[in-house]
Amino acid sequence: MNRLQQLVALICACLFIGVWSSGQALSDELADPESEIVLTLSGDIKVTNQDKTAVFDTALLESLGATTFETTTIWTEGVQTFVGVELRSLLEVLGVKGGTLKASAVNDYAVEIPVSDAVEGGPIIAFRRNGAEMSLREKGPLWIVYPYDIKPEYQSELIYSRSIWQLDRIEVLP
Amino acid sequence: MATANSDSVQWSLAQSDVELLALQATISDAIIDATVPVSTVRTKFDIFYSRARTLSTSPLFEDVRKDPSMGLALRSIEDYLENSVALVDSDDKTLRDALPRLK
Repeated sequence: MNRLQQLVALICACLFIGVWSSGQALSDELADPESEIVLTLSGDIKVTNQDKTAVFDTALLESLGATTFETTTIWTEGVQTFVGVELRSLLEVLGVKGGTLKASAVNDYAVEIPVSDAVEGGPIIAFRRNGAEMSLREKGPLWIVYPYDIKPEYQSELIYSRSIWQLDRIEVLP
Repeated sequence: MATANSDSVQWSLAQSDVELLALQATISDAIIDATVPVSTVRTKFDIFYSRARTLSTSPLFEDVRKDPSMGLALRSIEDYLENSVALVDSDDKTLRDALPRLK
């Protein structure tokens, strides 16, 4: 290779590394929430925005992508429309590929949810029910709901126990 | 929709007891100790409120509601919550002054 070719190769290599690095930097970045924090994730996560945790307000959660589905639930009357971010999408952003989620609620209820539950078309962290945000009294602000009517295999005691409402913390265990 | 088994009904009823006791304890604490923020009373109230709503409206508890003494207890709870909501939703000072009435 002549000198010029070497230079071009070097520049290409730098550019490649630069692109790769900025890609990494982008995926390492999670915006900061601007209003009240509704969810804190800790433990084995690759992306953080507050010390070693990832904190979210509702808008930041919604920016990860909103999924809507209709279902009845054993705790409510009539068909409900839930809007939320798929657990799968949230975990993808945080670089979580396996393990267990220890999800805890404002009332200190806690349950372990295997990361394998976080599939496309699976559970969402709902932040709206029937078009409105849920107050604490209405089991909000966040409720992990599975599409029970769409996938009958979700109509089980185990899944009901994982359908944690008043969710506020998730610790990712390896 | 498959119904959950009676274990989870029992668990929920026990949990509502726990949450009511927690609310009462928090109210007592806040009355005695002015440094306890009324927001903790509001949170415990909301937690109990959401549990009571589930007991009153969820298909899961239809059989429970049909039981005469449980039905009566639930209606007392509903009355208490309805009468207390306005106070709980008021400003901090009003709520703090009204705490003895919430017990």
